[in-house]
Formats: sequence, structure tokens, C-alpha cells
Amino acid sequence: MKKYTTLLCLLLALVMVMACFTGCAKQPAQSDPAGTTEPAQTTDTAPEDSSTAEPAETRETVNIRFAQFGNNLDDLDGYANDPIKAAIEQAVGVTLEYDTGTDGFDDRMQTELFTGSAPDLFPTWGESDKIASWVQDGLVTNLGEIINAEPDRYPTLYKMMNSEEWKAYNKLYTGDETASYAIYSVAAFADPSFGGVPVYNQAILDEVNEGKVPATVDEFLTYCEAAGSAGYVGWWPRNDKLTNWNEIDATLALPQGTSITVPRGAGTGTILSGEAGTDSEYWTVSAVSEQSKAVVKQLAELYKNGGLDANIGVKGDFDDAYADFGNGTLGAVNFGFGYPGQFRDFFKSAWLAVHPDASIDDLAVGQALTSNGSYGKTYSTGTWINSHYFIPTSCAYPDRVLDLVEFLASNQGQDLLHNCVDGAFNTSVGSDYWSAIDGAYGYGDGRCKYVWFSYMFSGVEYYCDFENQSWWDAVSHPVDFSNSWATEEDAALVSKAKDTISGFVNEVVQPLPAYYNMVALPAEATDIINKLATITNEYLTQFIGGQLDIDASWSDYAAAYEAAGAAELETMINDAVATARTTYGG
Amino acid sequence: MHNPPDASGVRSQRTWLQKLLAFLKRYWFLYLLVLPGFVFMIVFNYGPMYGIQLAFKDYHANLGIWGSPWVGLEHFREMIADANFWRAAKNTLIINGYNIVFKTTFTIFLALMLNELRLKKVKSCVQTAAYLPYFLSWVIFAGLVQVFLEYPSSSGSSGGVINQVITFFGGEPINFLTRPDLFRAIVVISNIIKNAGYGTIVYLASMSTINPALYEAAKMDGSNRLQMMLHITIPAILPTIVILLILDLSSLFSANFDQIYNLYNNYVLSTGDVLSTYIYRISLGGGTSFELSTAINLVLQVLGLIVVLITNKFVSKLDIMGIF
Amino acid sequence: MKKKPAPLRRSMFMRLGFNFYDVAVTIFCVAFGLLCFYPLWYCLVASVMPYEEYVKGGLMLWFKGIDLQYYIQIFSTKVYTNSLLVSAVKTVLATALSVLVTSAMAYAVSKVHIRGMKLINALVVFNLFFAGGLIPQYMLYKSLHLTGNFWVMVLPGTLNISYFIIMRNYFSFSVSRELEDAAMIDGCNEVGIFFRIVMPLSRGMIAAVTLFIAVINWNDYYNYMMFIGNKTKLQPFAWVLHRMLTDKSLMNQVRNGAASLGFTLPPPMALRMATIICATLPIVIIYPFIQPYFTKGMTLGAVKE
Repeated sequence: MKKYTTLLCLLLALVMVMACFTGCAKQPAQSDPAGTTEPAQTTDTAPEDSSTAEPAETRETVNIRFAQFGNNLDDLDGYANDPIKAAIEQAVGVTLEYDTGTDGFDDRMQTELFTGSAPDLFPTWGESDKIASWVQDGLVTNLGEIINAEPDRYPTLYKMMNSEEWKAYNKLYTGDETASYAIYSVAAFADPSFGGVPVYNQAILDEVNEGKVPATVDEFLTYCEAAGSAGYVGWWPRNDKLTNWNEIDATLALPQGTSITVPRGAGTGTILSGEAGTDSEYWTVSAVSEQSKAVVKQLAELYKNGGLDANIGVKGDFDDAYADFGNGTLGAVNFGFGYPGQFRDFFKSAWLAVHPDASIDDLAVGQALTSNGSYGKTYSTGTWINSHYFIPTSCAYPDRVLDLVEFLASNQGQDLLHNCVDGAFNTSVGSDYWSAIDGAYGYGDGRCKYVWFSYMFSGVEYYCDFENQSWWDAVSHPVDFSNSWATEEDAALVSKAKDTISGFVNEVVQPLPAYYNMVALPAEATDIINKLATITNEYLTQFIGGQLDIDASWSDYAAAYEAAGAAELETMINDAVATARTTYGG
Repeated sequence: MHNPPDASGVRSQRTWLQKLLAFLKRYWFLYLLVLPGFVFMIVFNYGPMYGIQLAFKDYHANLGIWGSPWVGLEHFREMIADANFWRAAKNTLIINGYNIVFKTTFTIFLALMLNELRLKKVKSCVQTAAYLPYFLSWVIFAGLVQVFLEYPSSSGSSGGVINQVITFFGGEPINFLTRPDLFRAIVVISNIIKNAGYGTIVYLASMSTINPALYEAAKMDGSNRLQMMLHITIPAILPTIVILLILDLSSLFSANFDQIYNLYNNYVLSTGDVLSTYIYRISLGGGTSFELSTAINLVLQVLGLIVVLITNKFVSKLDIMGIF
Repeated sequence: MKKKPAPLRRSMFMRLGFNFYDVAVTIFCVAFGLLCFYPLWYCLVASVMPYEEYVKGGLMLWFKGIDLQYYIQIFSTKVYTNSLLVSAVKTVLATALSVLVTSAMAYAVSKVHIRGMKLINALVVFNLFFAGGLIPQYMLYKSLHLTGNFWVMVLPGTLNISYFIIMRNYFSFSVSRELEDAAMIDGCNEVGIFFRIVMPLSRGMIAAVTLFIAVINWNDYYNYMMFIGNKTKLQPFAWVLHRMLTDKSLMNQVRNGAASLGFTLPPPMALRMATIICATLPIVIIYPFIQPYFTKGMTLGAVKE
């Protein structure tokens, strides 16, 4: 017994001594909070290093950590044997380390940036005040300075960064058109698309609507209610538990000349009067207007009559509602944001998975609805800033990171990322090539892009030809190769959606002048928008569910909007538009 | 290993140094036991604590936390200016208050019942079963709650099991999850089912240390089991009850995010929106503001501390050791 | 122990050793047990339900055929098996360290009459209310070279404040001064008291706290998410589980893996249920081995002296 006790005693003492050492050795280090400042200060000298131009072969191989949102690194074998990664590493003379995440990713990136340990190249979404504060705090590297010092080393980037459009973005974000702190990723669809088009279950269409796809708002409402009384649920708009009103808005409200969604800027939750591009243009917040009230009444009526599911706002979209569609109890759903590819994905995951012998004709892609003969208007410039990729000032070799970016922007790099089925790389590996990549990265859902770097220039993951086109032409007209290698079935699904949409898309999508890309709302607008979003979510949900009477409480809704600053927001939006028009409109 | 305890009579004649040596000789082991925990506490708990000043600062990463300029109470002003903050604060207080009262009561009751259960096999089965829901994450558990409470829809489904029972007995089905007046009850009950069983563990552990001789003696006196429970078991676990209650109170203002987030929806915001979900929603829209969230957390923590200090004061009057 | 004969004035039922009181207690406990058992049972049944049956919905009261496809899918995904190992190692290390450090400190601090212990107690309890926040934490771990390191999942939580308080109170109540004084007279010093009296006496409580802390460690992924983030080989199982529940990319990975194994594309919810069962299983298996420690009166002998 005594021996046992002594032994225990010794063990405990050992643990304590160990614990003590870990504690003591590390304790002093944490008491130096001033350390934060170091990375930011020291790195100001970094650009100078890059000016010592050495030939690429003699440059030391460095490790570059690249971060991208929403991927995974689970398949270590696939990652170690990744041929595209190896090709990039070889071409640039670096080793690549990938970093990614979904939950907590933004927080981690920002914390790492603030503490001087950010990845060498990492993305963020484009809030202009965030970028301005990072620049002001000296956290991110001025890429323009490095690139303009060595045009021969970075020919593609040099050309991109000295285009008028790129400079305009520089000016928007930092006030200085030569100071370029980020690689701007611009989104533009290769094909016309927009949200708000439902997909119908053909069997239910046949049963209650003589197989006819509704073309007007009235026909749509009639169909939904008819489906409701026939023992189905008429319509499931994608709505994230009634917190996202955009799909409902695009399907029902826009054709009736109003917008019920939260005003977030020109063209979202606001209605245009006057002519776009001229002094007469004016955006009115329409969420609490009389027309919106009428639309909300229609929705409440639908809810009452089984046109909408009784559990809408409680049930989730993907799991519960789409499973209902698969079971054949839903008449119509909004399936995505209007990418033709989303119809393919929806068909496969929500329908084909349940009905293995399904045919493409089981589902009908809907029409954009009309009201009094006119379509709803979706305003868009066709392009928007998606995200930005930064090099932190704590990175010791920004010039080498830019070597990587330069390679990826070249046609050779873009080809490797987006189209290497036909590239030289493919022929040396053989016809099994794609299945290997497929297995490694787990995207069998019809995408042929390399999952890393794919968002870096084009926010929709398409190929950009920077060598032969100007930056803006390349990013606003990206090339989508996915259908050139897709299976016959996948291609048929995508073209079915495309064919339907192309019949009316020109009527629906109204182009806005390019300066709308340069509309920057002040920081206070964000606060107002957040408040309005809470108000809209609460009131509209209760109007639809019948907890609030629309006629009695609509004025409360309007008053809440007023109190939260809807009028100020309207002014801010129109001022920002006017500023963009006078600055970039010419 | 065989030093005799101090004889107090000798003490007064010693110098302070001798006293100290004797003290250390007597108690060195206890200080040694404290040491590792103390080191971990200084490094990992106190090490980062200077970050609290962010609540009063305008943070600039290049200046560091110490170097960033002070802004006084600006973040706090920002916080209290929003009406939704106050609604969320009120809901947090009510929901957590209910949670603490009902969950604690039920957990103690359950532990007493389990302790009274005489069929050993049944007891161990029930215990095991009662711990299980604790291990389901709220994503899943809330999903199940929704399945059970589902309202019949026009597509022929008869709704969840609760509504099936209601209609079976001739009642009107209730759309539970869209009723603001029912939401808090749903939260509290689902919390009890999920966590009460697991919560009994500490109570049962502390009941296991009650001297059986006490029960024997009571039996001799002719007490019945209910009386024994009231006069022996409950007083014996009272310190445990108090300490767990105080620990619960310390989080009175910071509600269980996962539960509310997975159960609530726009219909029930008026009674169901709590501070943690409120903070989550505002930080989603406006980017992450370290300063504002630090400020809100600081307020919640200070309020928690105040509540606990008051309770503690009250408890020590009852001659029960509190947390300080 | 031997039962004493019941006094005469007790009823027949009582003499039989069972009465209405017992019946009520039993019914209540069994009913609550069933209520608690059902959710996990639902998950289990749903996770092995053949697909055609699953989509019909229902209450999943009993198996309608058994189909282990989701489990095959899960265990053919390498990330699962590796993360189970990481979680096991991390949980054992962190729990052992945490219980050792916390209980030792709690015991010492429970002796409030010794100089300095009250101050230390206040210093510890203060931490229950205040935390520094993410940025200073990150800087601390970085300077300790803990970021991206396995040990960041083990060390920071070592001193568990809540269980420190619970154990401290427990020690001060159930380990009486008289008992210690008696031991002291018998020739035990503080070391002896701790190991030969206090520890055996507190086995029940220490077992319970060990279970609690182990479960906390098993379920924790925050430190991985914030301070490691991208090291596939260090992913704890709780993180994989969390991603399975919230992150579409892992879900799609497993689902597409299923498609390549020749299964129909599994519904996400059923796959989640199977994941939940996998996550809960280790605890359900280990639990019965720990249970006796805190449900039976382990302290009988010690107290009776």
C-alpha cells in the first residue's frame, strides 16, 4: 500500500513539474501584447525585397499558404497526389499549402490577420469599409507597387492592374487609383440567369392544371390553390425559414411592379422610377407600399388555402421541403438562384435520388410570371464584385506569391484550373484523369473546375482569358466549359433550363449602366438594413401565418420602417447612385 | 513521513522564521497541489484577460490592443440604443429564469426518484436512457422536436405525433412552433428532456456519500421513506444543489445559443429572440465587430457576477458554502 | 446489509417490500426513461431504415428492415476513422490532466483555514465570469507555439472552473476535519491523508467529474476550429460531426462517395442520424463501466470508521 502511495506521489509530482515547465517557459511570452504591432511595421520593407530581380530559376522554393472558403482537405492522399497542384508548384517554383474552412473560417482569417499569422493569400467578401480599415492599419500589401515595379515579371497582372476599370475599383476602395491592395474577383454569368423561376412537378400540373405551366401571376395563384385543395402543397419558395424574401419577391412581387424584400441597395427591395443612367433615375423603397400590401395578402391567402405549406418558416428548405418535393407532394418549388446548373443539381439531388427511373420530363421549368401582360424587372449590371484576395503584410515574400497569381492569371494557368481535360496535362495522364481529380475533391455534381483558386478572378468559377482580352472584358465574359465535358444527361438538364429561361430572360433582366458597380453605401446604411431586415422578417412572417391582420397592422409595419430609417436609407441609396454616376458615369 | 502534528503550546516561543518553516513543513504538500492549477490559471485564464479593454477601445490591429485609442462608453451606447437588444435581454432573462427554475427542480426531483427506485436493474436502465438525449446535438434534437410538433399540412400528412394525439381525442391541431405564447414552454420542456437526466449524475454522486447509518437510524425511529428523503437526503445534497444553482445563475444572461437558434423562427421572435441569437444576427449582417461583441459580453458577465454575488451572500447566511 | 424486520404498524404491501410509493416512483422513472430513450432510438432506427421506408416518414418505432449503407459510407470515409483516433487520444490526455490538476487544486483550496487559499479561490472563481476574447487568446497561443499544434486541444482547458467549484465544496463538506485529525493522530501527514483517505473517499465524485470532463473534451471542437483549422490529421471527431451537420461540403463528399459505391444518393438527414449514432456510441459503450462508481455507495467503509 505504501509503495503504491509513493508511486502515485511520484507520478503526480512528475506531472506537476512538467506542467510547471510548460507554464514557466511560456509565461513570459504572453506578457508582450505590444508584439501585435511588429508584423505590421516590419513588413513595410517587404516590397523592397522584390525589386531585386532575379531569374525565376534561381529563386528559392518557398511555401505559400493559400486559403479559400468552403473546401475541404479531408482526402490527404488525393491532396498529396494532386496533379494540378504539382503542376502549379513546378511552374512557379513554390510549394503550396491549402487552408480552408466553413464554420468559423472568417473569424479565424480575421484573427490570424490581426495577429500577423494570416495565410499568404486569402479571400474576404467585399465590404469596402473593412478593406479601407485593413489598408489604414497596414495589414495588407500594396500589390500595385510591386507589380508596377516589375512589369516584365508580371505581364498579365501589369496589364490587368493598369486597365481603367481596375483603377476605378482602386479608387473606390482606397481613394488612390494606383494603390491596389487586392486581387478583385468579379462575378458574371456566362449564361443569362436570374432567380424567381419555379420548377413544377409535371404530374401535379397534369392533374390540376391540364399540364399547363402557369404564365401569369393569376394562373400561378390559381394553380397553387388548386394543388392545395387536391391534397398537395402548392408552392415552396426557397426562403431559409422565411428570412430570405428574394425568391418570393422575384416570383410574385416583381411582376406586379413592387418589391417586398428588404431594401439593400439599387435594384434590391427598391423600385426604379425615371430612366436609368440619367438624372431622372430614382430608387424608391417599396417594402411597405400599398402594392406590397396586396402581394402579402396574396401570400397570406395562399398560406390559408394550402397553396403554401403550413410549416413554411419552421421547416428548413433543403432537408424537409425538398424531400417533400421528392415525395411528390409539392406542386412547385424555387430551386436556386437561377443558374441553369442549379436546375441540374436540383433534379439530381431532390428528384432523381428518390426516383431512380426518373425522366427529364417529370419536372417542368417554369416561366417568369407576367401581370397585366408585363414581366417583372430584375435590374442588374450583369457583373458584381464577389470577393477580394489579399497578401498580408506579414508575408515575407509577396513577390513570390504574386508569381503564383501571375501564373494562374495566364492562359496556361487558367487552362490548368478550368479546362485541363483538353490541356496538355491530360494527354500524359490518360483518360482516367478526371475521375482521379473527381475522387480527390469529391465534387461529382457536375463541376469540372479545380476547386482551389477557382474563385480568384471570376466569382462564378469560369475561365477568363486575360492574355487576349482586357481585364473587364475577360471577367465580364467568362467562358463556361462545364457542358463540353458533361455527361449527356447533365448537358440535357442544363440546356432544358437554359432554353426555357432564354425565352424571356431579355424581357426580365434590365441592364443597368456599369457605374452601378461603383455604388458604395456608407457604413451607417448597413445598420439600417439590418434593422429593416429584422422588421420585415417579423412582420411579413406573421402577416402570412395569420398571427397579424394585414389591414389592421400594415400601418404599424410602415411606421416601424420609418422609425428604423427607411427614408434615410432611400436617400443614401440615391445619393450613392448619383455620386457613382457623376464620378464614373462618363 | 512521520512528523507528529504541531503541539500548539510550543508555538508561541518560536521566531517567525521557525513558524514559517514549521508551517511549510506541515502544509507544503497542499501548496504543491495548488501549484499546477495555479500556473495553468495564470497562463491560460489571466493571460488573455487584458483583451477586455477592447470593450472601451477602437481596435486597430497595427496598434495592438494596448495601443488602440480609447473611446469610452461608445460601444455600450451603441448597444443600448437598439430596441431589439432590450427585447432580447428580456427574453433571455425570462427563458433562462424558467430554465433554471424548472430544470433545477425537475433534475433534483428526478435524482431523488432515481435514488428511491428499488429495482436495481430498472434503475440502471432508466439512468442510462435518461443520459442519452444529452449526447444528441441541438441540430438533431431540435429537428426531432419539429418532427413531433409538426402541423398537419394540406398534402395529407397528419402532422407530428403530438397533433395526432390531439386530433385523436377530438381536439383542434395546434401549430406549436408558430405560437409565440408557446415557444418558451417548448424551449424549457425540450431542455428538460435533453439535459435533466444528465444533470442527475452530480446529485446521485453526492447522494452516494450519505452515510447509510443515518437511514438505518431513521428507520429505527419509524420514519417512512418520504420522511427520510425530506430529512436526510435533501439536506445532505443541499450544498450541491446550491452550488449548481449558483453556477447556473452565472450564465443567467448568456443563453444556450444552439437550442434557441435551432428551434426559433420569425413567428416567435417576440418571445424567443435571446441575446445570443440577437448578437449572431447582427454580426452576420454588419461584419464582425470585436469591440461591440466584447462590450456586450462584458455587460453580460458583470451582470452574471452581480447576480451570483447576491445569491452567494444570501447562501452564506444559510451557513452553506457558496462559491467564494 | 441485512434487512431489519418491518415494524408491525406497517401495511401488508410494505411487508411485501413494495408499496404504492414504489410503484409511483417506478412508473415515473420508467416513463421519463422512455421519453429520453426515444430520440436516440429514432436516430438509430432512421439510420438503418431502408431508403424506401425512410422517405415515408413516420415515428420510427421499430425497424422495417435493416440497411447499414450509411455506416458503410461513413466508415469508408477516411476522415472519420482518423478523427476518432485523434478524439480518443485528446480526450484521454486532456481529461486525465484536467481531473488531476483540478481535483488536486480543489482539495487544497477547500482548506480555507490555510493562509492564501481564500485568495487563490477568489482568483479562480473570478475566471468564471471574465474571458479575454479571441485576439489575445490567439496571440498567447501563438507565442506558446500552440497554434496549429495538437496540444492546443489539450492544455488550455486544463483548469475547469465549474468543476473546481463543485469539487472544492464537495471536499469541504464530505471530508470532515475530524476524520483528518483522526488520521493525523494515527501518524498520517497531508500526503497520506490526500492519497489514503480523501481520494478513496471521493471516488464517486471523481468518477462523475471525470465523465463530465471527458464528455466536454469529446464534444469540443472550438480550439481546433480557431487555432488549428486546416490540419486534416488533427481533426477531432466532434469537428467532423459538426461539419456533417452544418457544412454541405463534407455532406456532399460522403454522399458522392456513396454514389460511387453504388448506393442511391442518401438523404442528408438519415446520414446525419447515422453520424450521431457513431458519435454517441463510444460514450454509450464506456458509460456502464463508469456508472457503478457514482451510483453505489462507494464510501461505506471509509465513513463508518
